[in-house]
Order: sequence, then structure tokens, then C-alpha cells
Amino acid sequence: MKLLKLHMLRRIFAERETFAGIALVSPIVIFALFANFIAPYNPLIYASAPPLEPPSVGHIMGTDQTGGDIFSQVVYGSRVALYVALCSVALSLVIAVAAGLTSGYFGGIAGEAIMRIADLVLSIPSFVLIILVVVLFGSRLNNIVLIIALVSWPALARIIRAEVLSLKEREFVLAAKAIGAGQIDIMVNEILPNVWFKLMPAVTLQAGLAVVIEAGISFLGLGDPNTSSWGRTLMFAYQSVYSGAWWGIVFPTIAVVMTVMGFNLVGEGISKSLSPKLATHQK
Amino acid sequence: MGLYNYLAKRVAFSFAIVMLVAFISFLLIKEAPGDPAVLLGGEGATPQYLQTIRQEYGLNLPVEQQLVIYFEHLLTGNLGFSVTYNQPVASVIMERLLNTILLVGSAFLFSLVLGIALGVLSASKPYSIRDRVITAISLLFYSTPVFVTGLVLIYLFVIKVRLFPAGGMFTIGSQNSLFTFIPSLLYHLILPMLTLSTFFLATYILLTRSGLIESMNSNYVMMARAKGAGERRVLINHALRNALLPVVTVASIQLGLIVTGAILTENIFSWPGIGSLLIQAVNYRDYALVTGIFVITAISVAAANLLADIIYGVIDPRIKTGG
Repeated sequence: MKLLKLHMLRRIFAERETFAGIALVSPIVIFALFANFIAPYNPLIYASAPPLEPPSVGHIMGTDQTGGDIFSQVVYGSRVALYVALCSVALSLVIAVAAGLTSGYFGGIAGEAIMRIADLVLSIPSFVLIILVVVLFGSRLNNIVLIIALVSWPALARIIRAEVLSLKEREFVLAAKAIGAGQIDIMVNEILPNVWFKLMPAVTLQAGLAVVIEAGISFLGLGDPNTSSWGRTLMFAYQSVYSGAWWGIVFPTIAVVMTVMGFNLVGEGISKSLSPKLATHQK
Repeated sequence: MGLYNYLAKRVAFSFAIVMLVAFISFLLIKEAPGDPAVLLGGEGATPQYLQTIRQEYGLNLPVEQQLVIYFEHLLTGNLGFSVTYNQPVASVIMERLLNTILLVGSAFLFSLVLGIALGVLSASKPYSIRDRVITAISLLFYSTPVFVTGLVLIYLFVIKVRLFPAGGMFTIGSQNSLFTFIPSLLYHLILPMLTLSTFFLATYILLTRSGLIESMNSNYVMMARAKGAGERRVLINHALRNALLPVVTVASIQLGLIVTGAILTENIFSWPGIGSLLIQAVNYRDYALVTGIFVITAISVAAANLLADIIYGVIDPRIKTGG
């Protein structure tokens, strides 16, 4: 099993898209990890400078209408974006693995019921639900992360189930059964390791979506007031757009697009390396 | 009778979605911190009105009975009363619903038609410069949030080049005559429609392209070529028809996403639809209106999904035979 994984990883990194994606996301990761050292100002304190100053040596991305330093907001915003992406995806993976594995491996009425619930959840207008939760329970970042996870697991669960259905009749699983491995053991040690790679494109897609959703909520002024999200910076830019201050739009936009495109490209690289039709043979 | 069976299942499913959404909103109101009467009535409700709500929704009864009463209200179309608008929630929403449908519908049609056209253009010469440019632009649009696109479009076409109005739905005074109203409406619709379109445009381009490239290498296309059909005929009549099925599927799956996009777009361009109503309701803490919008959006999405299922059932012959 170890060998298989290494060989898969090598194929994934052989695709150009994977590299391009990692190149785009790396600066964001560095910003997020070392935000305290990189950002010159506290992103949440207003009036660190005169309002709406164009980019200069002191404020390389200019300032917003409150005099806040946009560079510091972009740097700390990376932390918020990656936190939302990681936590919501991790949480939704936990639910999806539990639901997809049980549904695919055991099947039957319970398996069907799980998938019907997944279909239902997929049809909930999630953005409105997040707004409703924020209104009723407050706009803490973790509330937003939790709801994103609770509405996004079905897409992953479907893929896991489909993979499990095709894997459970394969020879290596039957062999494990024959030597007396338990059902949990088979699911976790035989089936699950083979599901990860097929799941990755959907996971990266979801990570990008989570970033966009949180930024959208913050853009509407409903985000966590104690975090500096790119959406919040863009909201300030929108409020002062008539002053012609392009810097408030351009820099957070580049950050959002780099992150989401980076995630999407890594996903594309993985799915290309998995599909013999798409990989390498090109005119 | 495969088709009827299939449709009956889809209708039941749509109904289940609405019930689930109603249940979720009941649960949230029950669990949220604060007085449930206020959460049903809104922050601006008078003490007398709150008392009426307590009576009407039976808030001192056991929870199961409250749930029953809540469902009775919803099933009879009673979504509560909006304190800020001094009107029933349902009629406040209905006044705005058509505006949202106009925006979403035009954006959807625009992105579908242009997306399929560009996808065909891209796939007819795979890996050419034209194909690479279209794919690269799609990937960029695909990764750009709708509100960012809107912001950039406002900066470029409202502030730098004064080509379009910043927001609203028509110029005041133009609504007196249809000849001035419709051009004014279309003029105001262009930017929000383009904003909402970009993401979906990208999806349809990429889907059509990959579907076409795959079916161009298939046996039935080879067969069509062997029969001597021209390249254009092969592309449109044989390959495209099969490549479009996933586009229909994804278009209906993405209805939820289009709602997200519409909410953001409406707020950027002050388009007087449900999305801008939602944020006003949030700012006034008009809980009844926010909950009502949640339920109505779910019903609209379920209805649109049902419509997509019916279309799918008609165009995909496998469903009729139950295969």
C-alpha cells in the first residue's frame, strides 16, 4: 500500500498543473504562517495612516477609507482564508468518510437513506442558511466554518461511496476478507487509502469554494468582526469605490484569485494524473 | 411508465427539501439565544405583537406541538409578518421575486448559450492557441468570486469609463411608458447579468469542451465519420448532443451556487431582488423576513431542480425505459 501511494504522488507531481497550483498557493501559505512577522500593522486597528493613501513605501498596498494598512489586511487575510479552507474541509471530510464508507460498504436501507439525506442537504440554499445562522447565533468565524462543513460533505460522500462500491469486490479486499480481517479493518486499511486520490480534486474544489463563501459573507458585512478577511477589505474597497481607489480592489482580489486558482490547479493536476485519457498524450 | 415513476419520485424529493428547510429553520429559532417570540417577530416588534406571536405559535406548549403549529403555518403559506415592511413576509418576498428571477434567468441563459458556443469553438481545435486562450480565461473566471468580478466591473465601466449606471433597475421616470422602461431596464441589467454570468460561463465552457473532446474520440463519432458525414455535422449533430448531458446535470446541481451569486450581485448593484432584501432584513434584524427568504429560496431552488429533472427526463431516453 505504501508503494502504491508513493507512485501515485510521483504521477501527481509530474503534471504541470500541480506545480503551477503549488506556486500560486505557497506565498499565501507563507503569509498565513508568518503573518506576525510580515505584516507591519495590526489589520484590525483603524487609522494607522491617513485614509485612502495610494501605495507608497510605508504602505506598499495603500490604505483603506479608515486608514487601515491594506498589505497587513492581505497578509492576515491569508490566515483567515486558509483556516476556513482547512477546517471546513477537514470537518466535512470526517462526515463524508463516515457517511460514504458506511453507505458504500454496508449498503442496504441505511446506505440508501444516507445518500438520500446527502441529496437533500445538497439542495439546501447554503449561503442563505449561513446568513440565517450568523443572524441568529452571531458571526463568529467558527460558526461560518461549521455551517460550510455541514452543507458541503454530501459531494465528497457521493464520491467515496461510488469508489467503495467499486473497490469492495476487488481482489485485494477479498483477500483481506479471506485471511479474516475485520470489517472496520478492511474499510480503514484496505479501502480508504485507495479512495483518497480520487477524492482529492473534489476536496481542492471545496477548499476554494469555502474561501469564496467566507469572503462573500464578510463582503456583505456579516463576517466575524474580530478577523481580517479579504472579503472585509473588499467591502471597504466597495464602500469607497467612487474615490477611484483601485488598490483596495486589486490586491485582495489577486490574493483571492491566487488561492482559489491554486487549489483548482492542484485538483486539476491530480485528476489529470489519475485519468489515463487526459494525462500526457496531447497533440 | 418509467417517466411517471421518475417524476413522482422527483416531486416527492422536492417536497422533502422544503420540509427539511422548514425543520432546520424551526430548529435554529428554537436553539438560538434569545426570546423565540422576538426571533419569530423581529427586533422591531411591539410587546403586544410579541404576545400575539406567543399565542399564535403556541410558544408555551410542548416542543412537538410547536413544531406542528410551525409546519401548519408554512404549509398554508403563512411565513409570518414583517415588522419593518408592515406587510406579510410572503407578499414582501413575492414583490421582489420576479426581479431576482429576471436577473438569474437572463444570466443563466446568457452563460449557457455563450458557454456552449465557446466550448464548441474551443474543442473543435483542441490544444490550438484559440483553445488555450479560451481555457485560460475560463479558468480565471472559474476562480474569481462573483463579488470580485462585480467590483472590478463597477470600477472599470461605471467609474473609469462612465458607460453603465452604478445600480438600481431603471431610471426614475422611465417607468411611465414601455418604450422608455424596457431599454432602461435592459441597460441596468447588463452589468449585474455579466457579473453573475462569468462563473457559470466558465463552468459551461470547460464542461462542453471536455465532453466534446471525449466524445470526438468515441466509436459513434468514428462511425459518423465513416459514413461520410462532414466534420461540422459530426461535431454538432453527433458529438455535441452527448456532450451536453453533463452540462444539464451540472447546471441543475449549481442552482444553489447561482443563488449565492445572485445574493452578492444584487447587493453590489442594488438590484431590488430577494438578495438585497435579505441583507436589508438582516440589518433591521427582521428575523421573520430572513427565515421567510430562506424557505422561499429553498422552494425556488427545488422548483427549478424539478424543472431541470423534467427536461432531463424528456431528453434522456434512458429514463423513459427505466434503464
